[in-house]
Amino acid sequence: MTIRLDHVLEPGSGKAVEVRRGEVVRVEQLEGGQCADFNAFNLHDYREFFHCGRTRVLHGMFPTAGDMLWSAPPRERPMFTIIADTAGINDLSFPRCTGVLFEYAWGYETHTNCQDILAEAEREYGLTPDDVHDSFNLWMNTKIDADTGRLSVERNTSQAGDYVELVAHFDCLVVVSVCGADVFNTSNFSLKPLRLAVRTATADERVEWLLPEARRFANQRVVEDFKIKEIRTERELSRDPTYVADFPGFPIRTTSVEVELTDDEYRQLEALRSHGGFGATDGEVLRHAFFTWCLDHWMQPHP
Amino acid sequence: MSGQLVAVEINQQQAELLDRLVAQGVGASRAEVLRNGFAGFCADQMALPEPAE
Repeated sequence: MTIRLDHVLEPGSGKAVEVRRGEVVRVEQLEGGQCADFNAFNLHDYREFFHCGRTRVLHGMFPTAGDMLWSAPPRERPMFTIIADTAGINDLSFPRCTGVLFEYAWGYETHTNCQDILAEAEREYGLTPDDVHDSFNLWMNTKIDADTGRLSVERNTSQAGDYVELVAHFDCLVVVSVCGADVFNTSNFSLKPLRLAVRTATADERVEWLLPEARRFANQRVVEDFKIKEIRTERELSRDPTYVADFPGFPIRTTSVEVELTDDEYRQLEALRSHGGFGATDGEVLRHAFFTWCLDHWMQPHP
Repeated sequence: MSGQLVAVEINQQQAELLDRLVAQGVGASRAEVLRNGFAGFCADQMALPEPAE
């Protein structure tokens, strides 16, 4: 095992680091109680980046050891697997904090915030503030009210020495910031340093965690699939007069299938229709019931 | 079988799924797959525990 980078992230700062396939990035508490914001990009195509939404749907709001971090559609593939998480209080619900948040909430003209820290760290690789994306929030102890759906932040329970380790499935640029929120509960109202390290995965870790390199679905769109392959440089948007729409699967055509039900089955269908919530017509109720059954019995679990 | 005929509107993507289920032996036709799925749904509902009072 070779440690390639070992860096202390001071409060108010962040760092962009290359993490190659098969390497492990580790973020570690030095004093405890500090939130970190985590961004990631494909090192060879920065337009592929970590996606909170896809990850949230597949692994829930609080990813931990064994869960994967996914890139945004249309690439939509595993970027990392979390191979260790000693505290287990990570979050995918909150967006990164911003200077605007501290300005309108507290009146600050200048305040440390993850948007600006991540942007400044990413600038080392030519990225701009527009490239910062919503973060995987390490050690952010959040709760969701089941009735209202409202989010809250609880006290950060991480301790000195707690760490999160992620193995990269392809070459990435990882950007980590020491969350700048000291007037919220995120880091227990004080900002503290974190350790950021990159090492090679052990042979056992590679066997246990590293996904096959060639894994790909036909619908994971890559640049070669795009009708426009170039990245825009003009900020102004204008209509392409030669544009002709070409939506996949369009137009949608419907057909009618006549299904013969026994009297008993039809009585069940009538009962569902009168119960409500399954559709207004016999056909809608049967279609609802059929596809619900399909979801339960025939849909493939996500890889 | 003498029973009730129910017309189910499906689109081409849903028809593709039905055809795959026909190929997997869920039923001999789209109509039979729909009917078997409906029966499966009803059986699943019957298997659910009664809601608590």
